[in-house]
Amino acid sequence: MSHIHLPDGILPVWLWLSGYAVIAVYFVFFFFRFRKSSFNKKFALIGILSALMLITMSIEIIPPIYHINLAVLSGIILGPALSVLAIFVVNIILAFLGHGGFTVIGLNTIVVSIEAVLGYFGFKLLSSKIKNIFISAFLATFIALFISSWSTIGVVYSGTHDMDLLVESHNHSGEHKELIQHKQPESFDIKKFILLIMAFSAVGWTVESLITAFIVSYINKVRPDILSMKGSTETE
Amino acid sequence: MKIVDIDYYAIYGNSWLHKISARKKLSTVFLILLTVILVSDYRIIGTIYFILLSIILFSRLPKFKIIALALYPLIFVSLFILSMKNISLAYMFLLIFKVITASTAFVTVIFTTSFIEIFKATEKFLPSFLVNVLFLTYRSIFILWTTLENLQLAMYIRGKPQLKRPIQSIKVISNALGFLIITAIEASENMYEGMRLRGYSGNLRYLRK
Repeated sequence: MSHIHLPDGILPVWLWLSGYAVIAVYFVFFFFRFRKSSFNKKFALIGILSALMLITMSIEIIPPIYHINLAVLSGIILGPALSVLAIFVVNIILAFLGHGGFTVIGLNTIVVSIEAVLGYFGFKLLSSKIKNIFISAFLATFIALFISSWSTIGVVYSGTHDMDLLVESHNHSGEHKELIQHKQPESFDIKKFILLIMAFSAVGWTVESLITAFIVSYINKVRPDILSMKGSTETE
Repeated sequence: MKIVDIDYYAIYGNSWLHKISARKKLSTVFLILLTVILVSDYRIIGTIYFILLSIILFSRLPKFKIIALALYPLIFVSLFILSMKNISLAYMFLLIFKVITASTAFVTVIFTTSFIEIFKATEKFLPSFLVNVLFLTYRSIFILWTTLENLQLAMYIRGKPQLKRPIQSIKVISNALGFLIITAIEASENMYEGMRLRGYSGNLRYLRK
């Protein structure tokens, strides 16, 4: 579960605004980093890889909780800078489909981008050390998914502090005491949340890593130039 | 639910909601979103949800498809609720209504407004290159979907993936996806060449509906 599927209105405003602020910084970097002509060349590729991520998201590993998203593969093909843009576009479209909230687009982009960026650098590092491309891709994907899941947990944990305040103000409004069954304060059990996330994710990480590794091996056999495209993207 | 199917309903649907302009619908949805963010009373948000539900039920829309898709994020909120200690019924309702109200509003818009109209309406607020990437993504979905359907057919003819042989099945699916990616990249190269031939210089032009 690399994706924050928390919807609108649950995470505190400061948290999701921070998500958008980080993305705004990325766009400033993007404007200075890419010249218009070089971006135009990659324009169609970003669009088509975003579409690919959206289509592969319909492939569910643990229906309906875990689906693949091929963010690591997009990172490997597009490179870290352009893959963030592709992921941002995917998250905008997903928000319109009710899949993740509109306010958390920034946070979702950060979490999934962590996957793509770590996957790119992990694959680059591992493929230079390990000759077997399947193992390199598998390990890079697995590590990226593992770390990105922890970043999801981190985001949720940061949000739960303000959530307690929300619960408190909600309970003390005095308008619906008939529905409050006990007086003990409500709290978010992060350990239980981690356990639930990890229970669902462990199988998902393995299957997605296997799929990514098989895809990378296939591409390496048929069109190896695609895997080296990341270099050209970054240098332009 | 496939994006391609949703787009079909958005373009060929004939409900009164289809006739409202994209800008008006988006403004209403963002107003609902603002209420969901700011209000902490489950009864207010619950009322908005039931109003939305009535609109869907009394319109010529694919009711069950919209409701089912809008309920999707509920699964993830249930994980969240399960992780809470001493949760009151009122707070649980608040969380549930917040989730389904926002998602129902967005899903209703997407079932009654084509992506093109939405991108056009957002053109004033988003940078042009972002709107262009959104438009290209939308266009690419249909190109890739056709390829994926042909691939699925080919896979089923040659023996569909089986649970008895999980690794082999994953390999078959991955190879198909690998082929899809290569096709997608080739399509993007052709698309760029085509765009250049038609005078593309960084801005896309599209027709209104």
